[in-house]
Amino acid sequence: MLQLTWSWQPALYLFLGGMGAGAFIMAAVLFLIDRTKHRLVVCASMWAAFASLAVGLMLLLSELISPVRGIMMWSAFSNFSSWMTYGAWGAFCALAVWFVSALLAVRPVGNALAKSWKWFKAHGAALRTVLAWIGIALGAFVAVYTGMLLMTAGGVPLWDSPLLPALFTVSAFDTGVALVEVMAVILSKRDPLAHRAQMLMERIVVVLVVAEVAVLAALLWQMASGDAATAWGAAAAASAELLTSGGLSTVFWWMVVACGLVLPLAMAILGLALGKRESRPAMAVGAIGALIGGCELRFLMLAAGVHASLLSTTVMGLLL
Amino acid sequence: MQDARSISRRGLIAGTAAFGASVLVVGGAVSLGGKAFAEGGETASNNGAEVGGTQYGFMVDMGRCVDCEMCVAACRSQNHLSDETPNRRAVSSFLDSNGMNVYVSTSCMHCDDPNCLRVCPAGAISKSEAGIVHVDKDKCIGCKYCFQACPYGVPNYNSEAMDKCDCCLDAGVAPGDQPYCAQACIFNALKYGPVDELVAEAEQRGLAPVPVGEPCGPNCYLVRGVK
Repeated sequence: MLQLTWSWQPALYLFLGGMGAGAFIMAAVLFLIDRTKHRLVVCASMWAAFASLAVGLMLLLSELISPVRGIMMWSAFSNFSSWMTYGAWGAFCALAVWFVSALLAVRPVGNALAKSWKWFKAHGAALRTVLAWIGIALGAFVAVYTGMLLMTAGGVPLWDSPLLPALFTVSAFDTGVALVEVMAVILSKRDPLAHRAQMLMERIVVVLVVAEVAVLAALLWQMASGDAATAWGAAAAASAELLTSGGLSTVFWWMVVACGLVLPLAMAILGLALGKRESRPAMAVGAIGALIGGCELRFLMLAAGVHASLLSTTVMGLLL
Repeated sequence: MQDARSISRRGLIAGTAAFGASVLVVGGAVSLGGKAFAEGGETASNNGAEVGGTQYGFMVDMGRCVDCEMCVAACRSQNHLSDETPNRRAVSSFLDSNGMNVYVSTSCMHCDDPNCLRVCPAGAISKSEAGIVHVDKDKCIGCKYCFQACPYGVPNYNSEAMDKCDCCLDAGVAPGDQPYCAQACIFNALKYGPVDELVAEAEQRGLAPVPVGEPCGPNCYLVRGVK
């Protein structure tokens, strides 16, 4: 039995939102490191981050029974005891800030504004820096939110752990870095990555993959070791089993673990070992692996999020 | 790569600081999340407390239910559920230790502290008189977050909004009056009333009522009386 009430649209949104958040943070970090370099990579990555979140939100909207009511955000997201409310407003703000950041990263736009607007000519660079920092904060929020949405639901044992938002956050950063890497490889002829920037990204990938493996293992262990005598613990264990040895295990081990974690780790280590030698193919392969694995992780975590059989357990307790 | 493209030390520190700051924001947001979660619980119970009156609920006697599904049919017809709308009430069957079938009729538990109410972003769910958990279908956006929040997976959906038991409130039954499912049960297996009274009455009969699970304080109790 799988969780099918939230199907592919929310799963893809959780991936796209997280990936967009991670990509914007990585792009903003590259921008803050040196405002004169990697203009194209930063610009393309910021647009990719914006597009990811925008598409994700459109998917979510399309999944609503009443999308028209959903668009009226002031009434649709007015209950602040719900994390979905915080998430909707946070994503909306992120979308706006990322859009302006991406727009100002387009060189002709910046030049035109500087020509026609005195204030921008004097303060444009500072404005972009401020927007980058705000965008980073909003990106971090969106990355965390994708996991918090599931954790605070409260009705699904697999999601009922702080390790889930931790996992989704690390994965969001991981897939975001991968998206920037893809942009860097695509634009490598026009805007080659500085060696130190490349090394920085490879090191970040190694740290994030190791962290993700640790959090994923801890989450699965926590779920698998739940008290099987209770309906809640039994459902948590069943979800973990579904992923590690049940119906979803083939996809989990091959696409999430092998393709999404082992491959990017190996490619990042290879990239570090190659040093200044050609490492674009390794970077591209690792990044694409991370994106496939990150996407599949959201689908599997949603599908394995089954409810506890509270009625059955209560009845069986009475029948004994 | 060319040396001209190498990054300055100051730039590297700034970049690392930016990434570190994002981690701090992540930590802050997680704490905020915990707080929002706690506040959510408080809001839900406040809403429940505002009702002020008696909490009503269901008592299901597994020894009496025969799976006639009259409760399910009455619920559907009296609430004018459309063909596409799933049943609000379900009769589940179990086998006891003697291999005999045992039946249980359940619906929304009208919890003391409903998770669905807490997570609904539109504030479409409220706890009204008699402790009935009610959905305002004109406010519901249909995000289905309430399904993920309900430990029992009660909320259903049709093409309009979320749909679940409201103790026949929208069908014209006054809060505290008998909903159509309880009225339809000729075997007295499904009773509706003030929860405290239902529990006390069952205990007087020598039975030990058990709530369906623990989360959120469900107001649906099970007993197994004499068949």
